[in-house]
Amino acid sequence: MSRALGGFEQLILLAMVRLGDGTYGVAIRREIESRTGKEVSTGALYTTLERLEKRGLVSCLLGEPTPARGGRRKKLYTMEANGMRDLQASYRAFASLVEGVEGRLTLADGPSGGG
Amino acid sequence: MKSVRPPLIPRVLLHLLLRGEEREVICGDLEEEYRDLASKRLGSAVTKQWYWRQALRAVTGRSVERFHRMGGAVRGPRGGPKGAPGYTGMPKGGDTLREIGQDVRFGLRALGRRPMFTVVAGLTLALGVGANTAMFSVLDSVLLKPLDYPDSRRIVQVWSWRPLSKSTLAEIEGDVSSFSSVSGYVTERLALTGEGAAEEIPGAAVSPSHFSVVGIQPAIGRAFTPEESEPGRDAVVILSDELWSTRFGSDPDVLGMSITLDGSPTTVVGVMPSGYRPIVQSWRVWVPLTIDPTDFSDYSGTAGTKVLARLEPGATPARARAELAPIARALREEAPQAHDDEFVAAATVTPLLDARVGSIRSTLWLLLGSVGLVLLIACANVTNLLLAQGRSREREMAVRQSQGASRGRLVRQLLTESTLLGLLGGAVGVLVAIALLSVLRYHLQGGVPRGDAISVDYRVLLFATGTSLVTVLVFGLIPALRAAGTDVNASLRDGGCRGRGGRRGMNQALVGLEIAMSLVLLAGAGLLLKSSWLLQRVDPGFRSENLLTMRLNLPAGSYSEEEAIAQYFQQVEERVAGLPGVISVGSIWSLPMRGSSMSTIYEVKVHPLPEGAPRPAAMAQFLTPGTLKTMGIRLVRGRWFDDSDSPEGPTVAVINEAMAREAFGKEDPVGQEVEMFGNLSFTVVGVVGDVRQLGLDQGSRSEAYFSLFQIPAMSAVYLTIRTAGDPAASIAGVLDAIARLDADVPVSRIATMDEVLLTATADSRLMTLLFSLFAGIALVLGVVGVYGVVSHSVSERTYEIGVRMALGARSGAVVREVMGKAAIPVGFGLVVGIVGAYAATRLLDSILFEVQPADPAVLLVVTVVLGIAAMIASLTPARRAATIDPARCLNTE
Repeated sequence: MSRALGGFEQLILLAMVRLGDGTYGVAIRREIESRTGKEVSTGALYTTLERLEKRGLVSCLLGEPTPARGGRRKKLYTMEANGMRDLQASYRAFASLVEGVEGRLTLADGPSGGG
Repeated sequence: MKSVRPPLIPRVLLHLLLRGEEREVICGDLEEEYRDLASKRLGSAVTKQWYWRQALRAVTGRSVERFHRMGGAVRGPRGGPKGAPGYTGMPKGGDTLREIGQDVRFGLRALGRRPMFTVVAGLTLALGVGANTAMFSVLDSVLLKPLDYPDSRRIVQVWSWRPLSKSTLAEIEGDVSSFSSVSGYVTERLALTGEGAAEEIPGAAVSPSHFSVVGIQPAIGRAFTPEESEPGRDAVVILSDELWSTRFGSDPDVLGMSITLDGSPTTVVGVMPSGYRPIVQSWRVWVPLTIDPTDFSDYSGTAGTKVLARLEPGATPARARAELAPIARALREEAPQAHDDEFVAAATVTPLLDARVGSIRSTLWLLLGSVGLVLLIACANVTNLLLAQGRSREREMAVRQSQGASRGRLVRQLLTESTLLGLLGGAVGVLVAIALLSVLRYHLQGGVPRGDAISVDYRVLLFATGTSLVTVLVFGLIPALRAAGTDVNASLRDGGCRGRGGRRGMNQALVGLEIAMSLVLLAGAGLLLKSSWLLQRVDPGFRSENLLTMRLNLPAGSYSEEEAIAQYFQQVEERVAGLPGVISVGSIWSLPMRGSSMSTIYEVKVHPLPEGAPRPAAMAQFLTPGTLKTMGIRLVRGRWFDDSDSPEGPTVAVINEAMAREAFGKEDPVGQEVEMFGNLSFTVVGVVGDVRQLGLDQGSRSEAYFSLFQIPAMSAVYLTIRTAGDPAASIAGVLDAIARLDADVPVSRIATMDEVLLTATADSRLMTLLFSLFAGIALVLGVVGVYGVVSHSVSERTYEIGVRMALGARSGAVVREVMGKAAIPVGFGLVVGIVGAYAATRLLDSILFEVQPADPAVLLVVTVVLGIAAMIASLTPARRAATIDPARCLNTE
């Protein structure tokens, strides 16, 4: 069942595409923060990841505990085929809306000009 | 790297409110990130803030999420009475958050159902917590907070505030390597004239390094240069920010401006920052301390320079003290008469904070200790109330248990109730503290060092929360464990009319304890009251009523000649004496109770002492002849000063009774010759009664009086004016007369002598006031405690008493029986209290005036008062017991 992805969901999935399989919360959060320049709440990140997991867009498994985390385990996330499909659908919609007005959008000053 | 763990509070919060995997992952992420940020040295505040923010967002976000998810369950099946934990409709092991919410709501409702209990218990706690918070605020502001100087712990006072000679100062500067800088100061009161009314301004002459010792430089301009310590180059001044704004309208061009200080032109070179607290609170100007290399008197060891220093980083006061010791020994060898053992022993190095608060330290801890007792009494009281409540609610608990509520759940419910009560008490307590502090601050302003800095801050709030939570644990746990341990069957069978005697042991012990602690506090208050009363009855040696006093300071520039000074005093007294309502006028150098004093060693001509023997000392007092009549000092023998005592005539002195006894024993001192001030010879012409010069609690000391008309040695005096009516009504006229004579003579410290006396005894009165207040609270709480326990035991024994009355017991016997039972814990408490008071009041010894700590009369009176109060408290419930209607009680079975 494909429901349109929310903005934050899109950001998370995009970050996961960039990071590859088996990534985890801290990495995703940093990726989004460094690209958008906005602070991301860890709580909100996991709430959203949980939702994505329930919808079968991502899967996860528990990793090993590390001392840097105070002896706690990580949750390692991998993008599923459904996730990629939904993300592609979102991107298509986005791209078609952007079509023809790219010039006006790129003129706006972007600090990193990422993407 | 010492602390890489995230802040405790948000960490605990996360731990409490997240569960399972979610907790593991989120906490792990945040910790990892936190360590990373910390290792980048972003600044610990930024990193901590980040963690707090993240934790709070995680917690709130998750909770909202969860709340939505469980949606229906919260508003779920309504089996039993809504909300009561333990009734039906509660899934086993249900959501913690929801249960807490339920507990809180139910707890509030339970408290609301018993408004009397809630108000009494809440107020009891509020009084205890509030008084403690207020006292702790004072202690914290005065003793615990560091002084407002950079690295203030390194600032030390040298030689116990002993005035040293400037040459000793120079030696300390040169020889003590533990000090990074050393400075001397002499307090001054300088006359500021010129624009505006003449004003006397308190300040200090300081060596150039003063500002680096303190660690604060002028905000505008500069500190003094070493050259400005030379006589002739010292006509420079630094102003306080307050003086700059009040007197010079914060004029930005103030630097380089010439002002008239003590009659001489002086250049402003600096202004201290606003909010700067000087070493002595009243200072508003600083002038250079001059060291004249040609002035040998300055090197003789008599000059009054006090010394402050800043320790080298890493140096300790002990090391500095060891370095001072050789200097002290050398001084003693040079001039043994001037440097006695006491002087050598005083060669110490004390951190400035300790030196400033020294005398008040033990007093404040004592007050905090006594207010701690008040809190203990409050706790005991509330525990008793809760125990009693717990018993009445045993049936309720039993019903719940029978319907499936676990014991743990009931304990938590009761603890939630206590916590709510504790928080309520704490919140009201903070209000009580704020109110108490505003009163205290007003009274402490002058008497206590740093008294103006007292405020409620976050540490105090922590203290209040801490005490109130500890209290909650103390009084919440016992009844909760009790109630949960109730035997369900027994409670349900029992109609609640029969007594269960064993339970009362706890209450009785608590009541006994309360009485004992109240007695200790009452004994302390009683001793202080007696001490205050005795102090007020002390004869000061003069009549303080209808006596106006004010300080005149003749600017040294315009009054440098002794004749001019004597002439001025004569003229000002004549003019003021001519005013309506003025009976007589005098001038005195050192007003009794105002602090300053000066001593001289003396020798009686006819009783020469062997060479090298220590000479006795007497205080020296300078005054005009009119002072005897004006102040009402008693003339005992011989004559007082008169017009014949002129600078040309033979030098004469009047001595007090204490000196007459000390110097002449049973001989008549009148007509005898005494050497004072080195080798000046004085003829004793009269003896006057002793005046309590240094304070009402200080015994009489030898004192010699000299006429200012014969020896006009002092250019600043207190004018004393005896008036026919209210002295305050004469102030305007007197000021006008003084201004007309010379508008450049500043007048300060205008006060009636009664006010001066009040200020002098302010400390003792404040201590008495506080102790009486605490003891009063303790008395009320103790009495409430007795009443509560007796009253509850009567209602518990209603059935038993009913049966006995039905069998023909007389009401008088019932009253006697109930009161007799109440008398056991009270009597026990009184005995323990007497022993405790006997041991504890010893701590008051140093502040008591002419009262022994274990004064039997005081102990007897407070014991009787407390005993009677406790009896009255148990009388009312005992009477109620005697009116129990047997038929009614038996019918309830």
